[in-house]
Amino acid sequence: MHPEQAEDQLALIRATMERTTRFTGLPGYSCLIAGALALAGAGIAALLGAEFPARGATGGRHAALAWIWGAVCLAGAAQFVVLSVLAAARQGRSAWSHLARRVVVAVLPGLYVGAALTEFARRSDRLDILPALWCLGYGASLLGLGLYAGWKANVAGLLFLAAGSLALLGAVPGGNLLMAVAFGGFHVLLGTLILAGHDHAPENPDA
Amino acid sequence: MRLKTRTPEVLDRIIHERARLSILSALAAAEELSFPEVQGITGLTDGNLSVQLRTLEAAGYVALRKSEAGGRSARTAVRLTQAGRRAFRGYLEALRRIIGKVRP
Repeated sequence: MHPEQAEDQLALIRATMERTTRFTGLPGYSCLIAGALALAGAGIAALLGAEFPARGATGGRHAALAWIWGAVCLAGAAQFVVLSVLAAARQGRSAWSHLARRVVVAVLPGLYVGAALTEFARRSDRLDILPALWCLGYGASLLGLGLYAGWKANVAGLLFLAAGSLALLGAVPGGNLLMAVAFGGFHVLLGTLILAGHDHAPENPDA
Repeated sequence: MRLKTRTPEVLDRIIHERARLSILSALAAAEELSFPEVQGITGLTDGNLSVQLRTLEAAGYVALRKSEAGGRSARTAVRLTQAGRRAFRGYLEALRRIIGKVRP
């Protein structure tokens, strides 16, 4: 065998292995809807005057906040699952593929840390830092997703981490404004990037 | 006195065929893949993939597992066997040796 042919065979192996570990099941429309839901949540919270209370502040509409952002979170997750399953069915593949299972394992630690810190903040009466903590946990999850989904998820993850860090340090405002910018704006950006991208068709060894 | 001679690299002919090589490459990167997943990754047609999988199974390189999926038709899952993984690794090393021979 000529070395050039060996190079060709190695290139085929490399490309196939990369394709096997590349997650393309992230629907762009789902990210746009998640962004729209977060923007709607921030708008409703503003209309109801339900703002995350400053440290040590008494009163406030905690129940309204919990309902609004709980509903946004549930609706966002539900539409993501439904759209992912529909997209997979359209492409004739299973939504619960070997790669989807790996992705779930990669994103869970970030979500778990976000949930644990939420409980800590609640018990410590530090609801003011919740949006920043959610950004950090979600950003870490997106970076886990980026291991398989590529640079677009990484960009969004880094933006969430930056926004959460700056808000935690007091350099940028937190509260519903941060929720709107991060969970609204960054999701819309991610969805737009995904929809604007073009995936190349796999090389056909039949040819 | 015996002279040292370069022996030509012996490539596994079963793996060497590009369709089968792409199937093994996909399986080497994942623990187990369903038939449609292998098809999506390799771009092989139904018929061609079935034929190539039968060849690989006969060589002992892959194992096929059929399972009923909630009353629907059986689903086929494919995984590399130990022998398949060893053969794939050996094939990779042979390719690297061929390339290495011409590099300074």
